[in-house]
Amino acid sequence: MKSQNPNLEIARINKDLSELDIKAYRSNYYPKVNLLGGYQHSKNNFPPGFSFTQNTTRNGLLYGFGISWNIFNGTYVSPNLQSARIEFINQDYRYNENELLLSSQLYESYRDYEANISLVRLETDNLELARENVNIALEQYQLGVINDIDLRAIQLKQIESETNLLVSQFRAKQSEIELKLISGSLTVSD
Amino acid sequence: MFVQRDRYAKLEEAAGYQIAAEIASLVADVSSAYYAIVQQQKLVNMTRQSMELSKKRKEISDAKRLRRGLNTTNCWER
Repeated sequence: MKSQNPNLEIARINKDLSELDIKAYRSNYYPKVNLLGGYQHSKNNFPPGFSFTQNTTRNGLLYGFGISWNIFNGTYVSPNLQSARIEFINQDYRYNENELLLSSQLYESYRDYEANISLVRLETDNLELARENVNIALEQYQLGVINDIDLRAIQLKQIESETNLLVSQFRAKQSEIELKLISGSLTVSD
Repeated sequence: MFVQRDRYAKLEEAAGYQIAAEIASLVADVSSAYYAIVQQQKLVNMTRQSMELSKKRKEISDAKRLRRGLNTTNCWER
């Protein structure tokens, strides 16, 4: 699940890039091989009296290779290589830090999600009870057992329960979105 | 041996993940806004139901007052 998180993946790539930097600096210690190739075609036309040869045409394939090895280059490679190594270690720490942060965020989000789901269940039960109370209260009101104020109070309880249920449902959805975002499983189809 | 090639491949991969992160963030924002709208719609429905209930309460109250011989119109318009 963690491997799907883009931020963690970017941290991993940064680590890989710093490893490539080490390789690039280390390559300065190795000999270099240069290969070259080409094709030449030239044609010259000179007016009479200008040159001994009036027309020259050349065709030819060029190829070759060269080897160079820098034995001493002013001691600038070694500090750069050391810097690249330190940068790699830094990137490794950053990656581990991101991984730990992601783990804690995932755990926290999952806990919030579970808590909100439980709250939704609780509020649903609460609302059912509140509705039942309102039905009973209406009958009692018709019979004259309770007065206007009592009925209104029970009705307000129902409104409060419905509002609480809506809020808890919204929070549950929010935490679900957050959980999916952190885990990297949030897609357009969601 | 091909450090630059590998570097560009990694940078391309990183760019892909950055785009994915941006899209995911956008999807999260849109989803959140959608659920906020749904919540508000439900709140509106709930308020309508509450109004219906209040009307019903008023009807019962009016009926009671009528039975007692009181004028209901004056009572609610006061």
